[in-house]
Amino acid sequence: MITQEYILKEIDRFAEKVKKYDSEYRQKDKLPKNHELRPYRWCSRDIVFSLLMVKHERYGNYLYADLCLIANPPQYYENSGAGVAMGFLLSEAYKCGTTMEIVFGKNVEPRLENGQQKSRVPAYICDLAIDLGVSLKHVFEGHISPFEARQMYMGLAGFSKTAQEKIMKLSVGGKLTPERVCFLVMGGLWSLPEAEALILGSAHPEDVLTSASDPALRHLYLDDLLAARGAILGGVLDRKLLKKELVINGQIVESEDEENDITFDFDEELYAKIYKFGEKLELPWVEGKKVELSPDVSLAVLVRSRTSSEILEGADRDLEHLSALVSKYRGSVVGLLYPRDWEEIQTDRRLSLKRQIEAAGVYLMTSPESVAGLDKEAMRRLETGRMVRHE
Amino acid sequence: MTQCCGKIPVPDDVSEIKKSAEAYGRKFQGDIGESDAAHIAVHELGLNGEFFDPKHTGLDSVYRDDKGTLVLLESKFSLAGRLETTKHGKQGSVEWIRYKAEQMIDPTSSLYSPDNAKIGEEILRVGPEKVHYVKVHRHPETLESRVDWVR
Repeated sequence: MITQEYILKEIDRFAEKVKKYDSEYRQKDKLPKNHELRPYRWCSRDIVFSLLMVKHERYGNYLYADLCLIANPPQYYENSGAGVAMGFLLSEAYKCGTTMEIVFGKNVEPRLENGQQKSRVPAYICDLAIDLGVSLKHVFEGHISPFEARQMYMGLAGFSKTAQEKIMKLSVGGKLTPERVCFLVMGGLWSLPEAEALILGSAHPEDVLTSASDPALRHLYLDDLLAARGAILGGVLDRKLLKKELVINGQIVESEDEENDITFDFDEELYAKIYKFGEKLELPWVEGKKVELSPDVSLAVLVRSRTSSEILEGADRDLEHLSALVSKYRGSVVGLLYPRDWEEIQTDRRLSLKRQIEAAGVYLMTSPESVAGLDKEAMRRLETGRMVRHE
Repeated sequence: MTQCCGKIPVPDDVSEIKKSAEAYGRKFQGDIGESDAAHIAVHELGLNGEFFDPKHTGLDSVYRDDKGTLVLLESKFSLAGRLETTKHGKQGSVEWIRYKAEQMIDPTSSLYSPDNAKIGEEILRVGPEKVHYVKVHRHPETLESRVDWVR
């Protein structure tokens, strides 16, 4: 039973550790090792979601949570505090190189059993597990097994069923671990829709997600770069659609914390992104037209991250794919997304191609990103991925 | 939520967190709505209280009418007083009540207690569609209360 007395006692213990951390590390400009106890707080603005103290327990090779306080702020969706805490604990367990087992210390929601103080897996984390459909078998022993941790990590990352199946297939083949994919998504290197586009839309997602190809292996590296470039261009569109613009004192400001209500899907056959909206939005990057998107109509966008010469070379194939997309998603708004390189095409060729695209009932969208910029970002992500735990 | 960030805090952060934990406890605004709703349930609707431990994200209170049917009561102390839509259906829907009842009988869940488990078992035994769900909305500005028999 979580009482206010318990919460205050745990905050005191947390404060003591923070003070100790301050004198031992911050003031001496030192960083702690993974196996040393570290205090963390998770907040959004002034709302606290979770307070945690963790360390890597080297002898058992698990993550030890000495303190775990979770809030369930009513302004946010159910189990949001537990989601934040578990996301951190699982990512930390992966980062530290553990087996993914998580053990809670004896002070976490303690109870007396045969005169001994014992811990448990925090009740809010159990609620989250129930919500994700994961059955925790060692709740009153205070630990989460590696198998349960993997299931919870996959559930928290939020992959679609198709993507989960493909990840498990790659895992069985020994090509990619589900924990690594989840870590890359939860760590923010790839957004969830970007990772899904890579997993479902590229021939060798394991190479991109494990940063397997060395730049010296030119062809393999370029193949990874092309796959990453496509996913990133799709991600740029996702973010543009998600961004909420609020009008305050007659001026448009972007909201940091609020996003438009959108659900994402990915068509792996045509490499197209499918969006459904919970509110009215405007289709971005369409020249000279104002296209409104409404909740009853979905949006299907063929994402093609091509240079100007590649656009000309692949134009016929793109038009074929567009007509297939239009007939597959009848009744939807259909778009074709190119990077800014589109503008480098000679004017008469560009206008004739634009007419053909519009004749197919498709809106041409040109992203402000250029292929050079997308490639630079793709290289950065492949390089960052190289530094993440491999196994 | 997208901006939720984690960091190793400084001592000042923790003293602020402690101050607000001491000042507000775990609930504040909700308590006002719930005590008001309890008064209405007993004195205006003639319901009898059941042994029930209100938790943070479950049902607010549980009563029984004169026919012995369970009445689940949700109190709202906000301007809109809307019932929220969750992943498991809208508050008060059959699907939502079943999900909460299942949580109440699960010993690992935060909604579990021996009293709650008895209520959860009864809801699942008679069927969530056979229990009543009532919303008591108190407007924070006008302080007027409104009772809606949702089901």
